[in-house]
Amino acid sequence: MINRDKIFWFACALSAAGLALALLGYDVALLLFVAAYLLRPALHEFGVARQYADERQLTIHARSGNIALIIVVLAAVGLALWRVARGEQPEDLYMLIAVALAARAITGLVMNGDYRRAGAVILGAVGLFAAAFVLMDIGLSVTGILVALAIVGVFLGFGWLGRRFPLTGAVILLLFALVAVARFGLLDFRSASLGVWLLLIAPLVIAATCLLVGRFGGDDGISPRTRTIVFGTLAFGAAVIVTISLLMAADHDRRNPPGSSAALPEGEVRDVQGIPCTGQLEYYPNGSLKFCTLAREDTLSGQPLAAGTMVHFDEQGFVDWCFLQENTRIQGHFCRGEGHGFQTGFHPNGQIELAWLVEEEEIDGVPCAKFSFFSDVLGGPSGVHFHENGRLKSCKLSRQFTIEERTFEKGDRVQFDSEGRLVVETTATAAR
Amino acid sequence: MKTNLRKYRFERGELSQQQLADMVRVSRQTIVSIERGDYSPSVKLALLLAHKLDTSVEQLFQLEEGDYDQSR
Repeated sequence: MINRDKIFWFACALSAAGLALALLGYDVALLLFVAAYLLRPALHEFGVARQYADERQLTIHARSGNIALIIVVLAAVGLALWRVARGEQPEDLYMLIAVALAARAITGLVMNGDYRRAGAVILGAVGLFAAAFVLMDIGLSVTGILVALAIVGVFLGFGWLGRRFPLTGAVILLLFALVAVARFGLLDFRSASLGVWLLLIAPLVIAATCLLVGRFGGDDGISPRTRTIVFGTLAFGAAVIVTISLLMAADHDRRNPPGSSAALPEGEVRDVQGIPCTGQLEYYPNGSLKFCTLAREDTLSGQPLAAGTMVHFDEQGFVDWCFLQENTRIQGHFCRGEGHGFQTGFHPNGQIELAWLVEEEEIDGVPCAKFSFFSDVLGGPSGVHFHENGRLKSCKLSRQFTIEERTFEKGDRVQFDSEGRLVVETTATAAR
Repeated sequence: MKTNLRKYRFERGELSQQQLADMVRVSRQTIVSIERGDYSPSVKLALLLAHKLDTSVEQLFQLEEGDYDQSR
């Protein structure tokens, strides 16, 4: 039933604005259509306009929301499998599925009303996620399993402590989230990883809020309206972050037109501009190859790269970055290629620009650290950057080291100019 | 669940569905759904309906034979 109330007219206005923008060719129109469609159920769920719906309508909203979630997740799974079969990248769909399931699980936990328990369980889930991430990085080895178990233990232990000392737990969690935002440079939404925001930062903030609500409200000392406002604000904040990220990504795409793309059938190899490609192909508007996966080992810009390496080219046809299929020695540096994707970058002249080291290396006499999950999370990115002339530009130290009579600690990030002179030192704040 | 809502609505001055809906602040469609047996109201709404129709919840709504089986 359509209620011709304030929400109805506001939704009509949003739709009209969306229609006008669509006619003018603005993609943001889609956002307005979605907003108009979801306005009423969203307001009801956040408790803002309950007077405009009775209990049966709310029940219908809840049940239809559940069914919609199932359909969206199943559709995303199907679409992801279809893309995999075509040799395309399904990562964005995996992210959609993960976010949908995580949002469903967290919402269910919060709505149970046992906030301290909800905070602890959310922390445990984040721990499991981080452990899986680490296991993918280190590999299924005794060390990997021990580290993963330690991570799960830390998060579970922290959750248990949070239940007992919720205020302290909440403050530490919020500080941790703030540090993570600063460390990862997540306020620059264009380069930010939406996954880190939605699967790490957001759950930490929600867990902290749960502990705070449990601390100050107990199970019944805080009004339902206050609870709704607190968690509604969180949800609104998450929605704003997602929207800003998407808009900035769209803006980035508009400034950097993607050109065309094509997907080769599974197993098909095509020689594109002299390169044996398979899977997904992307081209610049000028027709030159932008991205492809090597079907067999090939030498590009003088660098032998294994089959399966995903290579990105600039408009002049030079390799500007790649995801190595396996750990590979490039220009003398042993670069990471396994796991969830370490980007190895190149200058236009073919010199390596960015590497994630498999093992510690002494580069230009400087002891540079290898990549490790813990070191990156706690101490900032460990990517090693090089100048176009091949000299070391910046890296994180693997041990205490003295440069130009200044002593730096292990984990400090040091930076040099193209002549090898120390120009700046920070404690691991360089962006990935 | 069996309902006598329609019967009591007529017995209390032949109230229309819209009038009853306005009295308990729900939509007319909700009254329609309750009378059809498509929707089971909350305890609060059932008590409100009974109050407005000057009767009891037990008079308005009764479980049927099959409903008892569901509880096993």
